[in-house]
Amino acid sequence: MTQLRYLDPNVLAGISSLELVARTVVDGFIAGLHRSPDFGFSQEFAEYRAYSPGDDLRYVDWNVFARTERAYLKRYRGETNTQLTAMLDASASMAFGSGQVNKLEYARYLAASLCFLAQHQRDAAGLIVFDDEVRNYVHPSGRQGQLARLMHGLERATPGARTNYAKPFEHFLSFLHRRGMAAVISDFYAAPDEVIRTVEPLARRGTEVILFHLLDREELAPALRDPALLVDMETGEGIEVSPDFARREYRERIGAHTAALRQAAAEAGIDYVLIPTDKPLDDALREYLAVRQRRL
Amino acid sequence: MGFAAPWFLAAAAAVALPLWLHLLRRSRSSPRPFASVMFWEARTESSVRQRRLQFYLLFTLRSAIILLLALAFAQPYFETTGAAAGGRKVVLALDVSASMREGGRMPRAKSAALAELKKAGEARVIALGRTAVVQPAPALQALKATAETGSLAELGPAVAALGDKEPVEIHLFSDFQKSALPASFDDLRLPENASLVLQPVANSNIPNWAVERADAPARVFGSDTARVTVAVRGYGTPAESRRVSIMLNAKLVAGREVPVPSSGRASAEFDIHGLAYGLNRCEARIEPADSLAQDDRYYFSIERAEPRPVLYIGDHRGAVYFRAALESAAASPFRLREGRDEGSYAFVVVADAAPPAWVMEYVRRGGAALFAYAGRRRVDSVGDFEPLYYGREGDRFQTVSWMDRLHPVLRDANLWQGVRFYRVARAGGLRALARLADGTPVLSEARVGAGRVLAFGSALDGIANDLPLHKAFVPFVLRAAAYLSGMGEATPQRVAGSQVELTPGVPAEVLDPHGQRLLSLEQAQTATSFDAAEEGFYELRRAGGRRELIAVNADRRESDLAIAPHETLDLWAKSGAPAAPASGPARNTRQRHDLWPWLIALAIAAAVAEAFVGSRYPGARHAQTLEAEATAKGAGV
Repeated sequence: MTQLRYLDPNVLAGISSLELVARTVVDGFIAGLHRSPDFGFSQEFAEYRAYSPGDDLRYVDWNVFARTERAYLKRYRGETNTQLTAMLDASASMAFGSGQVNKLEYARYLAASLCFLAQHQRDAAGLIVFDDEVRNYVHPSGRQGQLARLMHGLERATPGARTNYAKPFEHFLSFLHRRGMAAVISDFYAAPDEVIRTVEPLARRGTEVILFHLLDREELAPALRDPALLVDMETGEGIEVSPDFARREYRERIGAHTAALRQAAAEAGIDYVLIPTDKPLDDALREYLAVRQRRL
Repeated sequence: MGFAAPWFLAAAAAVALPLWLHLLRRSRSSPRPFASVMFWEARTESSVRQRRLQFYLLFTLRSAIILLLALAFAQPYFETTGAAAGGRKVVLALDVSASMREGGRMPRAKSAALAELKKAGEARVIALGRTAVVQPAPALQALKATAETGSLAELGPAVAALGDKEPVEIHLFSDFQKSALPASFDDLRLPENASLVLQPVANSNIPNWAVERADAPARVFGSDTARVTVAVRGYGTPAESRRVSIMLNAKLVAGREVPVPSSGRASAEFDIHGLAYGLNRCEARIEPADSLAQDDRYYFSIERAEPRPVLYIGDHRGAVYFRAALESAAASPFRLREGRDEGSYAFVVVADAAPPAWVMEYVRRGGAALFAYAGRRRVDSVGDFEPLYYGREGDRFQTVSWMDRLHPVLRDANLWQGVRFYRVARAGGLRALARLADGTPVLSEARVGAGRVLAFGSALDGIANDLPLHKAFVPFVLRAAAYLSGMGEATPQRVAGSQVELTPGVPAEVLDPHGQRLLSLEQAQTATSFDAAEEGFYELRRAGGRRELIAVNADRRESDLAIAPHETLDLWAKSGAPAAPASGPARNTRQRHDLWPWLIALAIAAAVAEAFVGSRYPGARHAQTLEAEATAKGAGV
């Protein structure tokens, strides 16, 4: 429970450093996994391989060499390299939040945790921050200092304009030279077909795409006691709504939207996870690990 | 309807403030940022309707406060037309004396008064009987003719007592009986601001017979027979016979035809047999009845009793004189007994002897005693008797120089002229009824408990004084006996409307002619008199079980239905202020009624309601605002 507590977004909101947030999340998550044999971890021993010239001497198991006088390299599962690209939606709508943590902050925590986890497994990690344009791009890499660049890129992500999925994905396709994993973190205020149509080319080129659909609890089940004037945070459009509508029709509509997105993603072979922002981050991390394990 | 300060109505423009607060300001109030309105749909109509339902109550209350205050400061008022024609106040005076019971006089007077009231709009009513009683206009319908004697002289003081400064128009509805006029025309004078309009309800002299009186002994002792003399009188009547009947306790016991001369008087004597012991209700009536039936009967009462014993304690010589005087009257109600026995007596006489201890206790319980002392003596609860000796020689005696002749014992006593007092015992501290020339009280009175005491400061033996030898002695003894025994107090016949006195401090129960208690229990303890307003028998039960029956009859002056001369009435009508011309246009008196106190009260009520309603809305609005603020804060907006 102690570890899980560190996955609570409200607790993480009290930590100023995004890297520390990511470390806390991942450490807590890994500690929780020790009790759960369902998921393997990349640091687990995989096999020994005979040394061949050119191999890095740092990975030689010197204990084996001492007993057998033969050089073997110790290999771990995680060392099957892949790359993760976190695609963070920083549109204005992501600034919405009814609790301590808004969607963009939650998305930062999630992206940072995913990147930290990937780095921990020696995977290359990259970042694309977008709204209707690509605001920031950190090329996937497993080199030293990459994590700092990722964290810096995440911390600079601020709410921007409207969402446009086409541009960032075109950008992403132009830089994609390796198959890997793409984690799209967004509130997906667009038609499900449009979202899938934009993301599908990635999947077709062999990239495992995970859609992390972040929604605030107030977006899922708005509680209006009185009629209110709602202002769209992206368009600035105002609309006078009634509590009755919020109680019935809106909930039906948002439910239908998520169901359609889930359905369309499944049909396109894309993973989809709906994450309310008041939930701990472990669901998202589990999903990531499940997808990664599937790739191995 | 008008305004005393209409420019304050401009303040009503301030109602724009709540209008702005509730309508204009509302449209811009509390927008809530939301991620996307993609899934929302405008429901403007329903939300606005809901909002109006909530806020219009508050808006109405706030606007009402402003409007009410503006109206109140503008001092609105409305005027009503009141009073009478010619701008005068109207007084409707109705004669309610006994003569108004004749035929349809009272109904005619009331309908005429109601018509006048309708014409005037507003008026006060005076019921004019023995006294004038001012009543509100609605009481007019309930007015009834009484058995009282009317007096037109009461009208002037009654109108003056109203205290009106404005001109007053009096409408007097009466039969204008000649006998209701006072002896002096000056007594009819009205206040200077009053004008009189006479509204006669009887236009001609109506003949009327009446039983003028019935003389019968109030008490008979021993015998069951009493003789009654009935006087029948005709007012404006022809010579005619009337049958006179005597009723005893609701039974006809005697009757015969009596010829009554034209507008004259006739009397007839009847022996009433079969009187029962105690109180007998008797009635003399004439038949056939005429249009004023109430005076065709006359009530009187006769009490039949055994002679009552009087105890004499003291010297035998004095007893001889006292017995001779006491039993000198025919059918004397008293029998003198000598001795010292304790028992029930009409009263006790103690002459030059020490009173037994029980005598004073007997007096305290409601009895009576006559003490006659010429020497030193101490009487408990009465005081000390101090002897004074003048002597029998030469001029050494005293005579009475002062008497309370209004006292029942000394009525018509004429100073006991020629009576010489040689020995006198002065009793101090008592109420003196007679004094000697040197100021020494010779006859005094005292109340002891519920009883009474007469103190004669000399002896009854004819030696200490020569009163027993004078003719004044017998009336003195008889009146003292009547006074001490209580038989001399009651006047068995009264005129309707008169006051019957009760003994202060002595409880008395009074039953009216209908058998109802006239006095409450508290009044029975404290009342000093009661009003015998109706004709019939009033039964009076005094302390000690003594009962009296008081017969009450209307004053027979009311039986004379002759109308006062027109000249006199015209003169009276003209003596007041000139009346408004009857044919002139009615000038209404306008009375102003201010509305601002009511408006202030309404404004306060609206303010209280606004505070109550307002305390609910801000709660919801505040929560809404907080939510919006939290969202905006989270969004960094």
